[in-house]
Amino acid sequence: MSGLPILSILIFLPIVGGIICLFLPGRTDDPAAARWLGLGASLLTLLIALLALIGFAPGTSGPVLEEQAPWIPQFGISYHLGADGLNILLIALTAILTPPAIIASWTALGGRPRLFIGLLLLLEGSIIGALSSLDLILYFVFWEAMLIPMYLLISTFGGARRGYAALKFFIYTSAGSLLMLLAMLYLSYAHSSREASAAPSFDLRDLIGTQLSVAEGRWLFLAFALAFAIKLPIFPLHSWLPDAYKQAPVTVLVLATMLVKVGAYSFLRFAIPLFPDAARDLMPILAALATVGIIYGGLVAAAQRDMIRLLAYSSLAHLGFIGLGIFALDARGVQGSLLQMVNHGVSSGALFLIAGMIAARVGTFDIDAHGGLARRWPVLTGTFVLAAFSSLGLPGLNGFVGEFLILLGAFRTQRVLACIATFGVLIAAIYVLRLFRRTMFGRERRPEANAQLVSGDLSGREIAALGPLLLLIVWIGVYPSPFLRRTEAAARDTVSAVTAPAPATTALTVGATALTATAESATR
Amino acid sequence: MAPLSYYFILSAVLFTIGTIGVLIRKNPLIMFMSIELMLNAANLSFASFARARNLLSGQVIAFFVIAVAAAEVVVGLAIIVSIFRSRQSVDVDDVSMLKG
Amino acid sequence: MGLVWLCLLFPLAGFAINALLGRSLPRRAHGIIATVAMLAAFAVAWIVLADLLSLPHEEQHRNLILYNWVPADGFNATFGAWLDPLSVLLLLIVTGVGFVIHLFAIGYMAEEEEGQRRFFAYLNLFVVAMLVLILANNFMLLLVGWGGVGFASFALISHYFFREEAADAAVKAFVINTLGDVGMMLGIFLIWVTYGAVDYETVFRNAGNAQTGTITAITLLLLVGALAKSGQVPLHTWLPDAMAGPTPVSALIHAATMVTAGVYLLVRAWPLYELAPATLTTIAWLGAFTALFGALIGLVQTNIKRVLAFSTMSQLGYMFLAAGVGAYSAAIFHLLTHAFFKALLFLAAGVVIHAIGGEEDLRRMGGLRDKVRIAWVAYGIGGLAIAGIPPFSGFFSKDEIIYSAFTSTRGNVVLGLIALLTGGITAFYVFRSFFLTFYRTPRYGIGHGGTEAEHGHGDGLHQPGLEMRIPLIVLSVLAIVGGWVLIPDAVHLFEDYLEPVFAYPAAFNAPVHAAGGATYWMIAIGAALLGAVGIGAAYYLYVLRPALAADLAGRFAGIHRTLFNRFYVDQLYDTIFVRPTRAFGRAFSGVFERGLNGLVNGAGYLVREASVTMREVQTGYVRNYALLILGGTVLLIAYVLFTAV
Repeated sequence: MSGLPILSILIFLPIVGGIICLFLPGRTDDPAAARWLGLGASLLTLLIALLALIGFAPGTSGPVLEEQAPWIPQFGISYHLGADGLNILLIALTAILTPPAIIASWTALGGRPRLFIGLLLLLEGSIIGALSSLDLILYFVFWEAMLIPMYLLISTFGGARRGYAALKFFIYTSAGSLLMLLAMLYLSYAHSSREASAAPSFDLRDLIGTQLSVAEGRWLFLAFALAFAIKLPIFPLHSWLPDAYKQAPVTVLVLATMLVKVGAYSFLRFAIPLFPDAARDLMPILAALATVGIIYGGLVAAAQRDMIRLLAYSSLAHLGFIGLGIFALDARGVQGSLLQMVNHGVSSGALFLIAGMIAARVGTFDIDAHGGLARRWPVLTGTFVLAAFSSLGLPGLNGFVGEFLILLGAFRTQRVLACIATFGVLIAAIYVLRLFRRTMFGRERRPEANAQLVSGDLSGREIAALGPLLLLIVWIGVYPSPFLRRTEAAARDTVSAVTAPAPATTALTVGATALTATAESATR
Repeated sequence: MAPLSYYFILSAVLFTIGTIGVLIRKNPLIMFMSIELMLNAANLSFASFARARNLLSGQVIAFFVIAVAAAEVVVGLAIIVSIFRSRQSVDVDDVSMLKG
Repeated sequence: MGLVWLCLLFPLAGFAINALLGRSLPRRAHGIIATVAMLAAFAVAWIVLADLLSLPHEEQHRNLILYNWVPADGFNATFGAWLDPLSVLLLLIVTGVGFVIHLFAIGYMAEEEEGQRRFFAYLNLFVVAMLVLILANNFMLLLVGWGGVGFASFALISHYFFREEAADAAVKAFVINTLGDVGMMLGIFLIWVTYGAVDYETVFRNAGNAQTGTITAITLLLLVGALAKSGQVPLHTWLPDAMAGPTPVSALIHAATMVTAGVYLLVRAWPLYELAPATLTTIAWLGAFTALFGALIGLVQTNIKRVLAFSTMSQLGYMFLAAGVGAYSAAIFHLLTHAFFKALLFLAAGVVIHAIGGEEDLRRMGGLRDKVRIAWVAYGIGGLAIAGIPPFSGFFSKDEIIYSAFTSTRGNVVLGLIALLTGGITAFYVFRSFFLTFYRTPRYGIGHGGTEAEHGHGDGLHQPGLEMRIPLIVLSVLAIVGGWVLIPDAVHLFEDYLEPVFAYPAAFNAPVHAAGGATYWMIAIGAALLGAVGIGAAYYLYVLRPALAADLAGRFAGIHRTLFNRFYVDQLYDTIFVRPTRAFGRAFSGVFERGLNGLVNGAGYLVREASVTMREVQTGYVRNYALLILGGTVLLIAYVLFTAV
């Protein structure tokens, strides 16, 4: 297994599968071939991803499964992939979430199954690519490539205002990345002109430790941070999110939750290690914005009538937690954030699917339009209960572990913010229960019979889509240590590289970081 | 042999005629001829310089220009013919689809 | 000792079987599976107790670790059990009382058309969560149990989810308890920052190595959770509403077990509380206030379950008062006896409600003494116990608290008098409900409002079956003899049993109040007399001269209305918390969100407007382009000519 380019396979298996899917022979509206091809490709990807995850020994700190090949050697751009504690969980999660997305869209392919499934696979491949790139330009290519399938999915298969939402999503997020590209160029130039070994490079490992003046560091950090903050999104850069989510086909949102997490991950991968001083100085501002996002997103979510908009704003609150854990610059918080990225993908993914299933039965996303649904569909209710309480962070389920660690870490470094953010847990209870209570509880209001609508409780196919997510919800809540142990070393290294004493930071490399980290753990 | 400046004056005159032709004529065929005139004015300059300086590169470029011009005429005439087929007219003022 | 995991496993298995496989099982099977699981857990609990008692006194605390639960960098929380006399006592109460209530529920829920599977599954799940809460060996795991019982409570209050008030009550209960969770989470963070760990062993051993201010902050934050869970003022408003759940749920969760979790937490964390006198004072006053507050409201409520709910609040106030004056073992003693007599009262009320077809309004009961005799006996015994009449259990436990409130170094006369007075009020309102239910003429009408149970045979009343009678009998016996484990000057069984708990971090010695002596008996007899007066007054007002009661209510209409509306606390919270939050949400959503969106779209709009203006340049005429090219070329050449030279 060690000889195979695992990460490349993980990236290009779905991409090639997706391209094949786009150009399948036969009738355009015949779904069978596309479905099975998509499911097969995504399951194969999942299998390989799980093998990679299992093979990733807990406690590993440096990147494993590395692949490096020159791509544009004149500019020092290389095809450099690697997995470590920061991204291994997210790569696996992307692979885990794709089959449910495909299974859930089984019958909702908008009349163009090949395009739909093909785009889903392309989205998966590009997300995994962005997650595993260790070269700035390669990363940027994947980062931008993620937008294309998402844009097409929204604009082709979306709701009534899909054109508007897709355009807004695309322009907003790519506008942010332009500055990041400039910053990358500047950084590489600074590296090759100032360092003793003057070879041009865009490799993350070479660029870490580039000597920058304080002002340079801050501006570059801000350029990176802007791109990531829009993607995450951090309050107040979030206004693309509700529209994009509302208009996107609901099954795609399962993967869209991963798309936004690339933003959070990139803070840890790029912005913080590249500009440790600037990160240390500017993090409190970002942490404060994340906290505002938690409270604000929660309050706005509590005022929504549309299930998807409610969940979109709840995502804003959840992503605020994730952001806070990162920006608090505490190893516990970072570990919590990494776990919470998984949790959010799983819980919100499940909630989006369930919302779609409810809407398929009652014909609307309006939470006030139906009530008392619990009586009719007990299995649906059971899954909804589990996903909802996971989302609001019920102790014993997955969300709690992540939120607890995030807040614990933040409490150490940003005490006031942590205290405010903890009330986000309360607000989460309010909006999630409001959603649940209005739809499932209360007097039953039977919608008009409509032949278009699904009838009956969850089908086997729907259970198959939700099952893995629900399993993860319980598993991570009860036994999170396999996940936490795999992120521990990476989280510690990332944080200690920033918080290490000032003289060392200028010359730090990944290797030196690992050294100091081991020395630290030895003294502990 | 006439002084070099004569060639340039001729070249400039030809170029100007070509330019004015492109600007004021509405028939695309005439405009094409005007463009050819401009190109050949440039060719004349190249050739003159090449002769005066005893360098080959100017002549080479002149050949390039001739080749490009030929290619351009092929494409351009094809466009004109297809426009004529669809609109039964070759007046360039009727073809303003690029208007913003 | 390791057997203790079986206590968790059995109800968990019951939950899993009912939840996952239950659909193919017959309707009766759900309750039986759940009850058998509880019986098994109860049996194992006795073995655990025997194991524990076989250890020498000073070693009666074990930290059993099952696995590493949340190992993070520099932080660790295990999944483990902290076994000492306190947790094992609670283990016995929860599994024991849980078992009899499960048994009762089989009969109570038998006629439910739907939802039995869900009911019993969640009931088992509740027990699992409650046991995690009790057995946890660290604060983070405690929080899992804490949240888990909150969830089970939500799920069971909303058992009749199609009733709007049940759905609202469930949400309210969960949200207020989440507020408590927030406090606890912050407390736990502070514990970790202060002590570098969250497990009981480390924290309690090092309890003294922190500044008093920090400890006070920790204990106050934990207290927020305890107040919410135990329905203490000011976080009490959810508890009465929670009575919308089925009666067995009220008995198990909202009387005997879950609501006592707050008391358990205070006693569990006594090494911290002992170091924070300011917090203890707060607890004592809040407890005393809640005791009186709940009792006063209980005076005028007309729903039998709400009367009992307010009495639960009030009795929990006693326990908080006891903990607040440092009489931890008295608090746990009252917790024990209260679990018996309050579960008994609820189950007896359940029998009544069941018998008359789901009616809960005291004004629509009456004359049931001979109709459902067993309920009459049981409710009477429970009433005498809660009123503190000797030799019923409540007499010993409550007087222990009243005595401590008077005599403890942390107590004072005012606290003592409040406790004493509340005892009299308690006797009055409990027996008010007793007399209204069982005496005088029947006021119930069979045949309407029967949502909980359909009515059947004979006199139209539903007689309880054996599975409902046995729990009543068992709990009646316990409500009588349960207090005999601690009789001042005579039996010290209970104090001796709990003693290792308060000797554990050997650095401290909590004041274990050895009650007794003349003062004690004076207070005890006084309290009992006051209780008797309360009962007598209730008898006079509600049996002999019912007109007078109505007359009094009319004469003091203002007070009556205030009490009836529970001092308008709900309305107050609605005005100062709920509405503003909602308004903020709407304002953010309507105004702010739109503004932000406007900014973004405005940027797009500007770009578009600019391009609309600029596009005029594009005429589409070839000659215009040619002219532009010419002009551009001229400019370019001019630039080259004039600058390059």
